[in-house]
Amino acid sequence: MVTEKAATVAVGGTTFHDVDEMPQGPSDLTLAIRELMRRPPALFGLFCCTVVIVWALMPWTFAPLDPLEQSLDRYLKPPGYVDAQGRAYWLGTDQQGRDILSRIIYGSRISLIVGIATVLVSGIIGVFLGIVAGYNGGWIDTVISRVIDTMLAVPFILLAMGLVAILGASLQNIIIAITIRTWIIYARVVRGEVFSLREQEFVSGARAAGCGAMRILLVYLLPNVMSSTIVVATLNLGRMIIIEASLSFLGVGVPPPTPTWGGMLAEGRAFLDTAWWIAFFPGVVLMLTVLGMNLLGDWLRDILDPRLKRLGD
Amino acid sequence: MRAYVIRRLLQSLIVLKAVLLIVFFMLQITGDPAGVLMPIDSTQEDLAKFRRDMGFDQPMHVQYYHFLFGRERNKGVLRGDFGFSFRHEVPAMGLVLEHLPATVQLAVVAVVISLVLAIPAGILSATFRNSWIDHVSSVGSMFGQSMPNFWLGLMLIIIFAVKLRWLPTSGYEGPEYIILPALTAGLYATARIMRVMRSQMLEVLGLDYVRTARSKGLNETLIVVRHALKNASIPVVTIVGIELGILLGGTVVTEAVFAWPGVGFLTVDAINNQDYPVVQAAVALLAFMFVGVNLAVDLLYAWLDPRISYK
Repeated sequence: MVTEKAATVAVGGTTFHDVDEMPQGPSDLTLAIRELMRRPPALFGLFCCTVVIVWALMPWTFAPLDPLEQSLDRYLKPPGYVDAQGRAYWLGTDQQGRDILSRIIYGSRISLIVGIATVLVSGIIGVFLGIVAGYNGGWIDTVISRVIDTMLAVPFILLAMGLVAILGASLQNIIIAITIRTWIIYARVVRGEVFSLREQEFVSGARAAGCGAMRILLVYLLPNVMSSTIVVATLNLGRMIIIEASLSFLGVGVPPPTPTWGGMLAEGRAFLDTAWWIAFFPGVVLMLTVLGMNLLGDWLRDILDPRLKRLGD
Repeated sequence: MRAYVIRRLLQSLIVLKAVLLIVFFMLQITGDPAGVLMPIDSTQEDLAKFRRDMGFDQPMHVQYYHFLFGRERNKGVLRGDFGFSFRHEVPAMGLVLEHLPATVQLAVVAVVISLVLAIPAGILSATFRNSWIDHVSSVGSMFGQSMPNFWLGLMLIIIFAVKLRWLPTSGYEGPEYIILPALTAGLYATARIMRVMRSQMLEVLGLDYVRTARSKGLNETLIVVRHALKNASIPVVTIVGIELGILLGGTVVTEAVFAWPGVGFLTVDAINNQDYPVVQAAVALLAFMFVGVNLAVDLLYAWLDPRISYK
């Protein structure tokens, strides 16, 4: 019997007597980092996301002033204003004299919490239903597919607004209202993947070996749909943040005085002709955050699952 | 083909029924619709009388039956009767239908503007791959997909209405009023159509028949316009249809920014004033239109590319 140790392996004209002696290729992580370093847009995306995450984790470290401190002496001061105590307001102040920069930094918390929570909850629900529909087929698939079609037809923002208005505006209800519609994105992708996976030999082999449906779903199918799920989740994170901002903008977001980017934009609307900075800066930060997530998502898609490239279209 | 048409029609009907179920449950999830609909200072007797009058004291399936088929003077939603708007005291569906033309107008103009911008940009990016045109359009579409459209709307107002004074800030009084809202609403559609157009053109330009046309010595413009564009356009038709469907139900934020008197603007106002019959009528109508547009697109696609109906 030939053992692994005794085997000789020939690679590129050189004969190795031990597999351990063979030169090891770079690990997946090294390859991913190398690919990241080669892509300036992805690096830019990483930078934007890192800044926002660090802001959200420790806003008090970065915010120069208290985001809630009001003073009518500072009513609508332009960017760069310095008050009598020598405190600088780099991005100006709003109609209540609050510092825009500090509010933007604190506002990153709500955006990230809603974004990450909706992606996680809708991801878990969507992946589960997608696997069940794809693996079982038949009436279960028909029911789940029709539910997906129905949710697609209902106008998203109106449904979310209506739900938040009925349930009450709170962080938890906003997450519920967004999740009710967004799980379908994951369910559709996973269902399609499982449809082709279930015909493959490793699945029929597992079935022949007597594995139960639950074991096949969790042990054999789930790991195989994880990479596309992660890609879809990253690409959707930015969209969730825009939806949260839209709800705040329309007046059904997390209630004041908690700063939110969408809420700041809504407040700035009344002062477009006198104080453009109130609406301008939160929007720029919102856009760069979403852009950063999309650029990182593109990079993740290319290293984890290049077949999904068309999803970005 | 006929079997495909029938199957798609049946699927759409099921979806429409399910949409009505969701619209019905929008009020029921509170557990007490009377508490939501009546003023906060209502007495217990008022609430009990309201529940009896509206049939909210009945079992859920009976309530749903009345919702669909009507009860007493109400004809039921299947005949378009969503009850009366609490605020305007006119039939809710009539009110929504009054605001529909403005939304349709905005959605159509937005799609036309995005087509005018996206199709040439997509074709040029694919034809001159990796040139500065390609880079500029790619960066543009990346920003387009990342930009919140209500923020774009506010910035357009600052630039074109407040600073330059070329266009009005909001309202609905003449053709110039639609330009900024349509540009805002068409933002995502432009970015998306451009990316699909580009990738489709790249795919088609690499095919054998295009190579044959090139080897015959045809000039590049003729190859792109006559040979490649036609085949690359089929998936674009689907995307345009999907975008139109999304826009019909999704110009809510744009309408709110520009005070555009469409269904979205009306519904946001209704939600803020707890005028639920109007909200229900609007959600149902927009969903019906989305299903209708999607059905039309699928059938059009199957007609353009008969392989679809056999899948």
